[in-house]
Amino acid sequence: MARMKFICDSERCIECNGCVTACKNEHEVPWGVNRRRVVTINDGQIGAEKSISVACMHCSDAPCMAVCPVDCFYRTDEGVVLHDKDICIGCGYCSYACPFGAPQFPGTGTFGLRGKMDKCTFCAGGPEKNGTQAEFEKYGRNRLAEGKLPACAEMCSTKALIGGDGDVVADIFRNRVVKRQSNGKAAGANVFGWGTAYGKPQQASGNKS
Amino acid sequence: MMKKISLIALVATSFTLAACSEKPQGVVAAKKGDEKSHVAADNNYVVKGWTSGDPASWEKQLKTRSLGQDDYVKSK
Repeated sequence: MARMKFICDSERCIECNGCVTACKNEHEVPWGVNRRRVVTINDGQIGAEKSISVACMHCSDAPCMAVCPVDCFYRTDEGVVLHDKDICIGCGYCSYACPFGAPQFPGTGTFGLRGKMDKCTFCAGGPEKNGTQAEFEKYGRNRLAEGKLPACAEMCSTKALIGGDGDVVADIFRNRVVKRQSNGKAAGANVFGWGTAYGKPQQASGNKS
Repeated sequence: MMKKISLIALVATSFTLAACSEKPQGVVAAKKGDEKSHVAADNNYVVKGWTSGDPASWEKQLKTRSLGQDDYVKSK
């Protein structure tokens, strides 16, 4: 199995926040904590407005793991970056290190107390036994161990957000972009991140045919 | 007499130094091992079609699920 990855198609995302709602509902995430959020640029500018759904990207070389002073992070065989809340001291270093703002801290304690870090788990729970109440209370549902994919991706109405095995997800996205390009749509191979991920559009089209 | 004093001193020292001892605070030892994802969750929400503990079966299940996100396949 390749690594688990999310990808969000900025040409399809309609900023409905369905992914955010699905995540909060699935894991019963408390107020003030958003494991996933939708970021919009050029808001209100016709034709220029773009939205993208962002959460933990489960980096291959995760900066949060590198800076954690108590080494509470670990990576699963599927490349999902998780952490142990029993070890986390809530220092916030991971929050400074993360380029996506994924680590979240509950602010419900007295005197502005910062609790233990919470973040997207790719719906893979944590180091407790799979699917137990203890795991749910600390990390949320473990959908991977239920034979499912993350709730945010599976319920995305426009399928802008897709998640799963990196190879499968990349194939879906590649096929989509090539189809757009062949249909003469402006946002074909010029889609955000395409060049970085897959090289020049001509090469990709050639490979596909 | 001297023996008695030595004994008392020894006992007193051991009690005094006991306060100076530290419990091990290493976090590495406390790190738990996570259960593999192909081990089915202990709840009623597990979908059918795969076998718990069989990585190949679990991967197939997730691949099928992943391909379900491809609307070009769905619309064919």
